[in-house]
Amino acid sequence: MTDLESRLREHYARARLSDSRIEQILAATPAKVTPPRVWYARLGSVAAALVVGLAVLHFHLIERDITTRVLAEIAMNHGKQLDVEIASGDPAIVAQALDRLDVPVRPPGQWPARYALLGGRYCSIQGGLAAQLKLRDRGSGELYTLYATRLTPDLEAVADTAIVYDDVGITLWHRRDVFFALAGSRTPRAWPPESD
Amino acid sequence: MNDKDLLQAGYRYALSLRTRADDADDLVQEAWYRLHRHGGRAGSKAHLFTTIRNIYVDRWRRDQLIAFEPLETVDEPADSRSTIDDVRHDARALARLLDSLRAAEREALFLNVVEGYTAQEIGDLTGRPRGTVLSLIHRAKQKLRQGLAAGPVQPSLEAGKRKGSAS
Repeated sequence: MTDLESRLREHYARARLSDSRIEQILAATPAKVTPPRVWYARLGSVAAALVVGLAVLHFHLIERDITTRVLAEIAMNHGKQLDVEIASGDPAIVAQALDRLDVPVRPPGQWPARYALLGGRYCSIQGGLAAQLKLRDRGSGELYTLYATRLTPDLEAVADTAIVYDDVGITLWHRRDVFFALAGSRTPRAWPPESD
Repeated sequence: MNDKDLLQAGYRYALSLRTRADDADDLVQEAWYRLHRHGGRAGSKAHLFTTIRNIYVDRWRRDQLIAFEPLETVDEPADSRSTIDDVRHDARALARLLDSLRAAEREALFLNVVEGYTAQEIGDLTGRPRGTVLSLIHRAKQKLRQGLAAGPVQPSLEAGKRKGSAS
């Protein structure tokens, strides 16, 4: 092995995700989905009524699970405060630049006066392409992140939620075929904010 | 290879495509979720690498979003750097030189030297002919050797423009 190769190996060996970051990613990893037929085959001769009851229970468990995973992912992404790739205060310019997303990158309606737009970038929510807009509250100076992605069957199961998760106030909602999330201070906010 | 080792390997590969830690972190996270969403498990390292590469191509190379380089990655002025002797043996010098390579050169070099892939295997992953891969590796090594021998890396606007793009 040459000296250069040795140095290259050392260079990349030093590059590591922290243990806490690894744990964050693993915690928000979509769960392995066991094919339903496997579950139902195991039930065998159990009475139809019991099958229905279990199916309902199964549905609720999956729903709760994906909501938790989405909340964990949103909180984690907001905490990373990645730099924007499109730096602009004009929602139309940011939306135009993020044109690979086939849904609107923000909820319809007038841009709320309460927030200054800092820019946007692509990200992912549960493996699907998403847009994230970085906002600053003009009053408090706090940073907020607004996410938008196409509403998938998985995300459709996520109930509209306003909750504090990992010290981040998060509001989840969907409108037509778009799933939105707003993350910021400890108090979850509606969109548009009530003060607007 | 367990999940943690797989994520670390994916992160290092992502760093060979995008030298910014934030971008590499984002790439490996998205690839990981995408694999689990579609396949139930990330599986092999090759599968993870392919997914990372696809996302990288989608996000940066195809859309040429590299024009939006954040200020924090701009090179320091030459007069704020260490002396030649310090930098020559400093890991930062190698990092700067790697940063100045084309993404395709950096990727081929990483896969060959760090991951031990053959030129044919790299060609299979990246869709390039074996001869092109060999050429990329050769040029990358040549640039690094020349850079290390020359001392501090000079600030290069080209590096910023090229970062994560041309292949």
